Amino acid sequence: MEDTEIIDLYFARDQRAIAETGAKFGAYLIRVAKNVLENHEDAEECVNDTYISAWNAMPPHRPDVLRVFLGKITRRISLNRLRARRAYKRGGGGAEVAIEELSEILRDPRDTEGTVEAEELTEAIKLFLKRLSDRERGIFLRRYWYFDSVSRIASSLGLSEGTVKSSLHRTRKKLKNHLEKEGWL
Amino acid sequence: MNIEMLVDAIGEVNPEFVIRADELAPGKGGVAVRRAGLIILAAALVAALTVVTAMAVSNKVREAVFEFFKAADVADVDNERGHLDDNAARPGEQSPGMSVGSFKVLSGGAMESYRIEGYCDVWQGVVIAHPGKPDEWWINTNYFTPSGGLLREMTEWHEVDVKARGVDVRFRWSEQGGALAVHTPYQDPGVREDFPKYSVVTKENLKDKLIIELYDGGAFPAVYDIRAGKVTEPFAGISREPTEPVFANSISFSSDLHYAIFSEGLLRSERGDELYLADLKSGAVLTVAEVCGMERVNEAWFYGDGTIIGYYLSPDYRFDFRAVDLATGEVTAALRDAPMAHRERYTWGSPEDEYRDALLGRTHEGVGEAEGVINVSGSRAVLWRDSDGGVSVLDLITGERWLVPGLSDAEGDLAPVASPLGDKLFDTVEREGEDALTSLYVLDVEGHRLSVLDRAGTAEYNVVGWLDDDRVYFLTDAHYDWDEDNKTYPHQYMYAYRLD
Repeated sequence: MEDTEIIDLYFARDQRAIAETGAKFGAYLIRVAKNVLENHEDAEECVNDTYISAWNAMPPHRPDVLRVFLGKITRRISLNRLRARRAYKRGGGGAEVAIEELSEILRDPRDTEGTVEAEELTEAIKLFLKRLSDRERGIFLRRYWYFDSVSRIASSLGLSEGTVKSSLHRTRKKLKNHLEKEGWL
Repeated sequence: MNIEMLVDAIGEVNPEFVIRADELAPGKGGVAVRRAGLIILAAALVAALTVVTAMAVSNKVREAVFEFFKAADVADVDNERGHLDDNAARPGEQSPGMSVGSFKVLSGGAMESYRIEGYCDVWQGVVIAHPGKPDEWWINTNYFTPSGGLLREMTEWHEVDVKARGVDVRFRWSEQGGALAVHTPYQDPGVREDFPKYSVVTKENLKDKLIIELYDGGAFPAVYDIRAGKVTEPFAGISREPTEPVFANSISFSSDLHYAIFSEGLLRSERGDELYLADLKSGAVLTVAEVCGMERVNEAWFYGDGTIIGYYLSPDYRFDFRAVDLATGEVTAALRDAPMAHRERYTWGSPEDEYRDALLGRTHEGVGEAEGVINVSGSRAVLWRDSDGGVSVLDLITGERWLVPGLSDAEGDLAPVASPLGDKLFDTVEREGEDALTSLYVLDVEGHRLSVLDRAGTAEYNVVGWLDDDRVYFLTDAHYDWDEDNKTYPHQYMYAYRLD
């Protein structure tokens, strides 16, 4: 079923919307959630929560790209669950390692003083990503949007893990420079 | 700003970026690495040059820039400033190098239906459709390995039809112009219902051998020797009982078995808590080690002469480092049990380095304080960055340490690429100074020789790598203007040298 047809089902309050969403995007959403939580049952719960959120959001919202719209919901729900579970304890696997890598960019990863306008920060990140090559950006997002493991990124792209790590290391450094230049750090 | 804000902001980026990231495929995932920050101290450089073999911009070298690529796509360098010239012609002009951005799909526009278009870089050039069979599109799944350079259309193909783990495997390979190419049927269940449950790929450091990835009931690797024409199945004895499903490249399959290949021809697979190692030369499984009572294997590495393997685990958020005897599979006592709090001072900021430090500290006492180490060959040697930024090659077996004259890594950015045989490294160096001139170097790990390939240029480098043991390639960095929005020049130039 086309995405627009699925969205129309949501707008028609037709519960087949959930089934069609699951059939088309279920595996994708499970992957997003599982990358973060590393637990299949938790991931399934987050995906179910995603369906509920999507049901509540549509209408009135009509997403441009349904897959990413759903993926963002799953990612947010999964991260919230992770935060509640562990509060980013060091030394975990999966998303926690990725998040810790990102924290190297910040002067104080646990800073609660500074006030940040989320939308402005998002725009700064978008501008940064726009300037990256497809591969730099792709590897970066595979790691920090999808939270794919380094080994999985390397395996799926036919690269060595060292090459992927190197790319991530340098992109993080670029991001740090960019955020400093933009006055975020 | 805290980490949660940053993570959340990344989650809100453009949907098209998110989709394109997920659709990155082998060959389109080459790394855009901007070489920067590696410093050669000027004074030390003078000393270094006494031992350096300078392969400067001689005509001989330039002539070697690259008959390997299609002549139509590559022009020789003839400007006064050498090939690293920011004023070089843009695509469409008379380019002094190969404009990566102008590369074309070799077999025409039909690929658009598979959404391959839009990757306007060098990797697009290696998307190959099978000529003469318009209903069978083939995509090469690996590039630049082991000798890469699939930037030409190959005409002599070897058809292979074999069985691996009971699966009929069809593919073709070609070896022309020093490049080894493999074509497997295009894999997209949305396009072809009968998409194959395997993929055949080349891998770094595995000359003459191709890896067959089997997705039927698990992701099991087999090995095809192109000289012998035979398939070996190192993990034939391993159960293919399905585990919980995992997803890769949008194709779901059962099993979380995955593998990695090491430069010494050892193949590693992990499934759940089990760890498997196979010698690709003999086809023998060296170790079938169950990770005793551990929560999870995160990573594993080879060290020294390959007799031990380390892995770390994270029960209770603490990393545990252990060693496995490859011959017996015996798990030794923990080398170290260190909390992550100590990891920041290491070069890569990863537990991998901490493990290495623990191992090196155990086996090579007296080599001095280390800020971090970088594994450069996958086995025998590591690069060691000391507290002063000096870089040494440390032989893990003998403990011999060679301080590379003039090479400094004060910023911790050293990230050389190992040659297929692992005995040489290729990377860029940047001289201190107003111009921050950049050069390329090859470090012969075993021969203890540093070679500067070219005089410094103003361009930064992007991807660097090896085509084979004698040839390196590199891309100049994309021309972005970071000061003005929307003023970007996403064009790169690709070059290569033969190391004579």
